[in-house]
Amino acid sequence: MLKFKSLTSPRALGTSDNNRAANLDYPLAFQNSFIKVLEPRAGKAPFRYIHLSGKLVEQDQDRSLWFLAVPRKTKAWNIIPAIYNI
Amino acid sequence: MFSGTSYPRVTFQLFDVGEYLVLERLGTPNPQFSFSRTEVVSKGWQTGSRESSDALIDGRTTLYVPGDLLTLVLPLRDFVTFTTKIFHLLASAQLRITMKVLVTGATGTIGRHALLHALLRPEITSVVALSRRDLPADISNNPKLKVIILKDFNDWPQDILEEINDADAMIW
Repeated sequence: MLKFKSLTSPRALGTSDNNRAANLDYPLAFQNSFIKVLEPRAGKAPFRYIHLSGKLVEQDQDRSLWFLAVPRKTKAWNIIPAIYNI
Repeated sequence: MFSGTSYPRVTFQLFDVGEYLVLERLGTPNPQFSFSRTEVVSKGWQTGSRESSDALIDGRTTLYVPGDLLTLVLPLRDFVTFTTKIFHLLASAQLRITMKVLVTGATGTIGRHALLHALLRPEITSVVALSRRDLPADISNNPKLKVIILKDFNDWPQDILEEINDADAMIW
């Protein structure tokens, strides 16, 4: 995983600057660390991960978009493994 | 204001009068329900107590004191929603549903509201805010809330992970 130091406080929601740290690296770092320690759900409902990504975010990474294609796809990138179970 | 006599009525004992009306259902041991005044007013639910049978909660006057009996007269279309909500809350009270929810971005606009909503939900018994900075004191004083300061979201220390590994949900 890339280490990314942003000069200002990284913001994710409401931005289209393709800030890779806030939109992708941080959620992925959490998921990768958390999945190793998550307690077995013994009878309880599955763990819910709710990602508030933003408006016009596109989950389909292969789709052609007319504007802001990269930031709009980046914001959904971190949930792709969960959706497609990979 | 019990004009709609055919409408279903539900009687509760009023538990607390504030921004939220906290109701205790008669005959049941513990469950409490809360509805915001705006929710009651916006849905047009008519309310009346034993003392003032035609009182209407309009957000301007407080006509109720704790201990009052409160009868909600509901239009039929809302009765379904209302009973569903009651059953849901009854179930969560009886099954003792406890949820621990993690929230990030609590210093931002959306995250703050996600956090405040999580704190209001009765099913959510514990909220952990993962934040880079301290939260305002009026929020962080909430007994349901624990704020964990995390300097680098790329690096999750083991002691923090062990503190949150029994969580039920994360709102990122």
